[in-house]
Amino acid sequence: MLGIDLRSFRLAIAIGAALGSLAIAPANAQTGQLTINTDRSGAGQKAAMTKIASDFEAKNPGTKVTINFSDVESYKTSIRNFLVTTPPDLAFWFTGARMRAFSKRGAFEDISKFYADQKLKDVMGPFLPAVTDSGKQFMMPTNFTTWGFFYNKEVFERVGIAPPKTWDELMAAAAKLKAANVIPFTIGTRDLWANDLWFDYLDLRLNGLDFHMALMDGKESYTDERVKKVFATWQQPIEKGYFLENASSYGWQEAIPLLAQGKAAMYLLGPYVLTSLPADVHGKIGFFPFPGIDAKNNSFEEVSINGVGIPSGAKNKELALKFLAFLAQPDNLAAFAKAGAVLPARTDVALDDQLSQVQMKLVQAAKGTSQFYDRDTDPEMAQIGMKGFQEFLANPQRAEAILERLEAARKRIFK
Amino acid sequence: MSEKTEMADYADLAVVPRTRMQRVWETRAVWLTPLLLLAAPVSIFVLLIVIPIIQSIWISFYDWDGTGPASWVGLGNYAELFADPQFYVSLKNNVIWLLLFLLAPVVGLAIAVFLNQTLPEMRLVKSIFFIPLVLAHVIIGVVFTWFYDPTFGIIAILARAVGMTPPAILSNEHLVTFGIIAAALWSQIAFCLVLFLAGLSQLDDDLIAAGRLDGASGWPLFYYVVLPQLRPVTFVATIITVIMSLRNFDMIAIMTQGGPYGSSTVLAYQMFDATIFSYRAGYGAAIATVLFAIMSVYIAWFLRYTLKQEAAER
Amino acid sequence: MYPTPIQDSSLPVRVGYRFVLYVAIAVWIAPLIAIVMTAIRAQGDLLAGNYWGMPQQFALVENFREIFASSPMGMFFVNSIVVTVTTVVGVLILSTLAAVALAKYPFPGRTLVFSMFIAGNFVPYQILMIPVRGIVLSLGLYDSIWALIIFHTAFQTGFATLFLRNFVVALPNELFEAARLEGASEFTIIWQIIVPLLRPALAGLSVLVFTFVWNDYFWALVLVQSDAAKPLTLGLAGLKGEWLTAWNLISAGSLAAALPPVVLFFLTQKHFVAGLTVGAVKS
Repeated sequence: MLGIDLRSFRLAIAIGAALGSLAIAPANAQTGQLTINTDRSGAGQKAAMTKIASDFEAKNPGTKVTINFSDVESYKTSIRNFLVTTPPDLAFWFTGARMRAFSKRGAFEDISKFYADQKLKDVMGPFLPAVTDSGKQFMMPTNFTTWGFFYNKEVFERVGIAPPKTWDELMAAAAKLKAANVIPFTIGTRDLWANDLWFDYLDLRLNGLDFHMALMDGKESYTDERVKKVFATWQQPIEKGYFLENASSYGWQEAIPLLAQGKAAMYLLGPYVLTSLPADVHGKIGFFPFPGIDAKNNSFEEVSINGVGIPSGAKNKELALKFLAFLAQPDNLAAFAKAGAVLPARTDVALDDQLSQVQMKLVQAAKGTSQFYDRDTDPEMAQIGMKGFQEFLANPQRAEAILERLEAARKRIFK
Repeated sequence: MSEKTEMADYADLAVVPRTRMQRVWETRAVWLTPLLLLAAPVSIFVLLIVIPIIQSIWISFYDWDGTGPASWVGLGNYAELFADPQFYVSLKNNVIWLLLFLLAPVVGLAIAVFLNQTLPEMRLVKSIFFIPLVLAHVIIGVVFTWFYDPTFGIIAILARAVGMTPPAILSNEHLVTFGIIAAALWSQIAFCLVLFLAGLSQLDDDLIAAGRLDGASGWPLFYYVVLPQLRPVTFVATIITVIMSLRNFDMIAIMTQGGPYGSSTVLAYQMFDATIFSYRAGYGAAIATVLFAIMSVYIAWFLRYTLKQEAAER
Repeated sequence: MYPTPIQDSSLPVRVGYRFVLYVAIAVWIAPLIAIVMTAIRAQGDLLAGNYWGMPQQFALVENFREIFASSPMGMFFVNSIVVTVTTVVGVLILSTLAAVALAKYPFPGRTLVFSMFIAGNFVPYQILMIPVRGIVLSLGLYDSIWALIIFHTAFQTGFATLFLRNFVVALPNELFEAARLEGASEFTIIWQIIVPLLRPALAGLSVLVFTFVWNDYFWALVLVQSDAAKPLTLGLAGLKGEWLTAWNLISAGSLAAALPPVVLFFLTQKHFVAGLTVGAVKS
């Protein structure tokens, strides 16, 4: 033997290891470092998020939260990089098909258990389908937007119309507006997506939610009679000239001034239209939901939901779940949503704004919801579809050719 | 200068006493020096540019979404590309971009000559002409779309002032590409301007004075005395302009997103759209490879032409 | 000097020249004026369709205040400076070495190497996104300013080498022969003869490379994630806001971001001044 008592040597190693791990373990719990990547970076939501983070730090001493803010467009590119390279502990993102593009590749962690643990299944009920993939939940919804017609009240009064409740009333109102030299529907299609609302709502109203979602999933054909009916219905106001001429010259944001100035009467869009309009214009804008066509389909709504998920490569999943629970608390979620002029993804939150209340009621009354064309269907299909809608708005006579093209793309993409 | 002459010159050096090390160095200097000079630039370039290019061409043979598993499709992406009518629209637009962009060196040279005076305010004026090059493309693109706005834009206001209906440039399949090129040319001309200003500052005064003494002035003076001296700059300006015309996608992305319905798309934008928005990295790589091949043809021709000219001058 | 100095011409020509000059300037900067007009108004004006008229309120100061309040613009600015200046220095050095090698030494494979630099320059760079991201990751430089520095240095060296090589080719060989006969080493020749002769070209090149790197948005997006390494372009894009884009903020920010390259151009112009010609060196 070497003069070292082997037994005591081994004992020393064991003690050393034990002491060592003791030294490391509390250090880990103390240096709780949480990294969050988010694209919710408008001034309001940025401030709200920062406050929530510092509140969380206060409640959990020893943790440090770092938030990386990015604008929405850049984020769409960078998320594809950082989920693969150096994932943060929490990543904000769209839900629906956009989430599934990542969850089906295992980029997000399965957090189904989280809902049961935090008893959120009921209050977040209407929003859960959006974050579900194959029966499991991969994100937590944070806020949502509903969509509908924003109209210029002064113009309506001047021309003598009331907010329409049915499609026929809508068309009649548009005819009256056109006769009075007002553009009935303003829209900007240069950035492609504003058109989606028209397609989605017409499809929901005419054909119901099940057909719409099947179409989104590529299980139905674009040359189906039902889709043709959507286009035919849409064609009527287009051919009567009820839409803004040369809509593809305007970005969706640049079509807003026409509504604000009263040159146009209605815009099918989301409530954030209102947030930055000057105060004197704000009060002039009213809201009514998309009118009904067929009674059995009237309570389907388009509700777009944003959420947050834990990337599967995250370093600190325990802490991330803790943060999620904290964020999900009614006060925090409401503050976060309000700061962005959207609504919190909880049905039990009290809302003080009339428009918000109207929207929440819509969501609660809805028998089912879809998200938005480019969030519900495959991203490539969405690009091709949106370009097709843009072309259709400018050239309604090309309906058949456009639908054939969309169908060819669908066959290729959803094989 | 032929190699023989150079070697003979080196023989003269044998007269001066020097160490063995110096002698070894000198006899090998002809090829050792370039090796040393090129070591750093070439290695960094190969690592970060050449290898990724090869990897990208390799990706084009796969069906890949950029993150998940990739499946081999061989020439499938290319077959799909050549069967897609959008490809030919993009190609046509690329040709239009190329032809119109060639105005940039011409206009840039004209402005450079115009500005090449020593008036006191010239430094400031030149800086003003330089500004388009330094402005973020996103804001240039957006401002031009506002110029073209059919209701609120400057062009609309002017049209209404003379009683015409305002054109909707960005909605018109035939006009949209020209509208975008105008926005892109603004900075491209500024780029050529800087190059030609540098070139003009290197003109040989003696040659020009001699030309003037010979009675040349105006166009002949310019064409026979000035222009040949600008050849290195013209070469670079033209080549870069061609590259920029084929590679540009910023303006298209900002101003029309390739629309309306694909009529202003160019190959570079189609590639970007495919890779980023449609999650088809393999297909995008195929488009890029095709674009690369097109450029290679042009560059190869241009390179041969220039090298031949340089050899002829020796 | 070419063209004939205006001061030597008659008064009508001088006046005429200045007139045309200022008209040209007015036309040229029309878009710039539009950007300034946008930068001085609040977003409400833009949403109400008031793009060109008098703004409801003069909001330039508020816009700047909001830009700086909402993000660490100062840090982004410093990052941009560090990345750009380091890259420009690196590119000037590397490309001078490469250009001299390609222009003055007839070694086998010279055309191939030159073609490689040209070819690497005209690749549509977006397609490099995924491979470069992978390489930068494996170098351990991801999400740091070094990622940007190393990539931009590599990429711009292609263009810079192409640019300088033609200037070096134009330098007469007699200079080098004479220097070599006097016993000067290759590196002395480069440093003391070639570089000073290339001064206007290097000045022009530094301005161009500075501008390209300063304005880069795409690679910052791909290679950087956290605020600590973000350059100004990415920071400005973040001003876009949640739903509505605050173009007034972006205009104001872009104007501010445009200042350093313009100042650099203004300062380096003296290197473009006529008179520094090859002819002068002959003596």
